[in-house]
Amino acid sequence: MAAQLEPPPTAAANENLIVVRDLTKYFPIHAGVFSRHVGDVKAVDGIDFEIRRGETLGLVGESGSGKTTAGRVILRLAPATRGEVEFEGRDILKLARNDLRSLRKEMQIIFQDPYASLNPRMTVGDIIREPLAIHGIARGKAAETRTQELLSLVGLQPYHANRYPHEFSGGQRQRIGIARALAVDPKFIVADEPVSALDVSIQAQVINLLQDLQQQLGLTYLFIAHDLSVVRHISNRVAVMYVGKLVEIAGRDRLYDNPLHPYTQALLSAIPIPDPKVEGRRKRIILTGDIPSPVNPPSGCRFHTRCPVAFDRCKTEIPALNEYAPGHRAACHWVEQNGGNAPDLTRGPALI
Amino acid sequence: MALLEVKNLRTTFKTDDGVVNAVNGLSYAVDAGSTLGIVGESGSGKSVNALSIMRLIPQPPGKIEAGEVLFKGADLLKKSEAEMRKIRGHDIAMIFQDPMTSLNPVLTVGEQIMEATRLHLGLSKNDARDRAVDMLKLVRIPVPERRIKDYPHQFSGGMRQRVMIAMALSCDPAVLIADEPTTALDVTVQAQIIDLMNEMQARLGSAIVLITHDLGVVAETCKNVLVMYGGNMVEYGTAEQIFSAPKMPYTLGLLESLPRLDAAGDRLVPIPGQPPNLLRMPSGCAFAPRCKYRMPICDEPVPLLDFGAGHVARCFLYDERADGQKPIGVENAPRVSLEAVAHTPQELSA
Repeated sequence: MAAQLEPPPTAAANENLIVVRDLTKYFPIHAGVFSRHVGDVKAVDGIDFEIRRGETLGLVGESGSGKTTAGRVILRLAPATRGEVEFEGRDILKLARNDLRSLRKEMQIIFQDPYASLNPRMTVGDIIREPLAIHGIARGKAAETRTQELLSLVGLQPYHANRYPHEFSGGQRQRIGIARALAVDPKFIVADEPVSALDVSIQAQVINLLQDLQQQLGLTYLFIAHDLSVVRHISNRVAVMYVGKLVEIAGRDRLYDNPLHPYTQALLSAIPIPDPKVEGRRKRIILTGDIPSPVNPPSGCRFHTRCPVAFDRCKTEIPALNEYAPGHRAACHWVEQNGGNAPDLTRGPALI
Repeated sequence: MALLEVKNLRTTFKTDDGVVNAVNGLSYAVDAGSTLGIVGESGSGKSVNALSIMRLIPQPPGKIEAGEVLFKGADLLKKSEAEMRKIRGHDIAMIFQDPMTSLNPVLTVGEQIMEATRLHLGLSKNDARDRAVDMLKLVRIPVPERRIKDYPHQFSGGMRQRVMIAMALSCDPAVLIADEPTTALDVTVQAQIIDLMNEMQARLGSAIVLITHDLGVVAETCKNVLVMYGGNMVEYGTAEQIFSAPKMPYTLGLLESLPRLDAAGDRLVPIPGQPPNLLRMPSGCAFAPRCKYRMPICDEPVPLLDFGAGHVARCFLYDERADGQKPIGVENAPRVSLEAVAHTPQELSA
């Protein structure tokens, strides 16, 4: 296969804005009268990746894979159990509480549910002005001007500032959420399923807006989604998670054209393509069973219980995230033992 | 004769702000053994249409104002509630979007499946239990003998949806109405569920009405596609016709606004504006305020135009009454500038 050209990141290439090392988040489970610690939900279990300045990193996985938790821990909205998150060279997980506020100015989040993430008792203007006041960015007249600026930036009208969230449709509310995130002029934004709650015709409006803003303001995105078509559209690189582990990460085109990990292959083949002619030709890999519980994740490779090419080693040994091509890393024993080639799952179970 | 035929269905809801025409004169038919996909945005009336067929519209505030729902030739809207109860779940079954809220949390899944078969098929308790186990096995729930004693909360989202499907199919329904059956599920589970529904259809020859907003799922499963907008059908045709030669600008817009896995474009083409407010519907075409091909004539009631081979669309772009009119939004654009317009009705008859 010919070498793939990756889409050039918009800003300085290869400069890491964020480096995540061994990031782990366990949610303890307590039971009994004495609330004894009986186990952990291993939501994120030792993941490593980096996000380059000006790029969009897509983070995909099924529900329960830990992608949302990863996003929240990176922003320190939830404390990490272990690991490091380096933002512009400093480990933000070690920051004292008092220093967190300055961090919030650099990193913001856009939430999935545009209905639940806006305070229904505040006007849109109040919602956008609040971060300006908290961070002492602007007050009074200046805050007013900035609010108008932000509203027009996300494609809303100045008079919308006096309205309440319930007067807006889903797509417009998501624009309000984006304006609020942009109010503090952040460098990095975690977009957690920002378009999944929207209708298709509106989804495209919000995706285009996010792309335009990235270009205008030089933003860096961590784009968390389960819709792989949307992720392909917006991302420069894509990381795939499965039950708390990173199984594959690569440049967008490389991941979609040449997925190495059997789980990535299955995930990609499960997406229906809106074209009956293509659908008729396509072969699909249908996984059996359900995603395992993160309380008792399978031993070894967490995908071995559903993997069509799993063998003995997969049950005992946790596969390392090896690099098989520049920037293309995957955690799979099969791939490792077959010189970096991907198993062909469309031909039925492969033998080793 | 079609197995299920909906004619001029009109369902309204009374609200504080006025009467909403949720479904406004909808007509279509489904044959045995085929799948009809109904696509549309939230508020387009696709779910109200399904609930109207099942006569599950809460009345008041809802009301089926007019129309017919013919099942094997008999009008369901004229049936008594007692007759309807025999049909629901037996002849026509429905899979709801949200499995968590549509399963009874205080009954085991076994009891819920058995209730339907005992009532409709008159099975004994033991036979009904065997049938429930068989159905759960069919939808690939592991160890079904044990799982029928579990409650809905003990299942994962995908498994609950499979329980819903097992329940819906337990009486071998002639018509299955699936309202967004896979929307709440992950893609890998969605693939499993779609596989399962296709398998069932091949075995039983049921007609399926699949309501979804996912055009990918439609392309994969449906023979015919009905596009809804603002409470009514705006286009109908085979999946092939809808996907390769859409006529209505809304259908075209939907297809263009979708990021596709097999063709990563540079920029998406969104449909501008917002879905219509059903309380303040435009006098003519409901899509006109968002349509880039809008013409003055679009404010008049829109005719349904026939493009041959069963392909119909509700749009003035192809009507001779619009000759000489130019789209308002696009400067110097020809009246018909859709790439897809290979044949207008005039050309067809020529």
